[in-house]
Amino acid sequence: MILNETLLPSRLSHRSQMWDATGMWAWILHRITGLGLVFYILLHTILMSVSLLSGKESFDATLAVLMGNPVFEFLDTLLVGAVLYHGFNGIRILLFDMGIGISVESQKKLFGIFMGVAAILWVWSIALKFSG
Amino acid sequence: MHAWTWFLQRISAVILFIALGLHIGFLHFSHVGEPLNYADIMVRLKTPVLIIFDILLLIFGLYHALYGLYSVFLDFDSGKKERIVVLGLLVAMGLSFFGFGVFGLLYVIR
Repeated sequence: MILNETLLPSRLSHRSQMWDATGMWAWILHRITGLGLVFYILLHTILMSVSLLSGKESFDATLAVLMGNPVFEFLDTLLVGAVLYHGFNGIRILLFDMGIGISVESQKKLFGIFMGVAAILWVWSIALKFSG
Repeated sequence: MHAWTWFLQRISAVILFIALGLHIGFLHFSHVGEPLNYADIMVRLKTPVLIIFDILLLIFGLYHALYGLYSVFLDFDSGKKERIVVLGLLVAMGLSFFGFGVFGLLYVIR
């Protein structure tokens, strides 16, 4: 029973209880993707502005590298994955803040549903990217 | 102060969820196979509605990103003085990036 596992002392140490929880992993991944996206948005703002300000040739050359190089294409798919995870998990946190689905059981269910939708969108975006 | 900045983080989250979906969707998935180029981007950047959209995206994106960094910082022990210094640095950073982004946008579409 969920109540027993979360509220009553068990044979497990606190540390392993903490790391066994879905919410802990969800939180860590939210933080990692968040930090990655902060780094990205700052880099993206500088790179796009500078290359636009440098004129047509420079901008098209920058885009050719960013959109043609397999390393960047791979990083792009990671970026979309990070945005989707952070976005959908963020909406889940928002629902939690609003008092929707607060029980441990519905938390896990909501996490599953949101991650399912995010995963479908991610696979769809990768399929779209490499079909064109 | 923490209450309304925290609330604004939630507001910006919802706005970004929608706006980033549009930004990524239109720029990268609406015409798969045709690479983006300077001429097309210029047409897009000069569209009045999109100028407003891009500036709002920049504001909410920067706010959400930098407030997110501040939240990470707050998870560690810190003194009042350190908090003010970090907050000041992040505000300065946000304003510089905002100024740079808007200047770049207005300069290329002038």
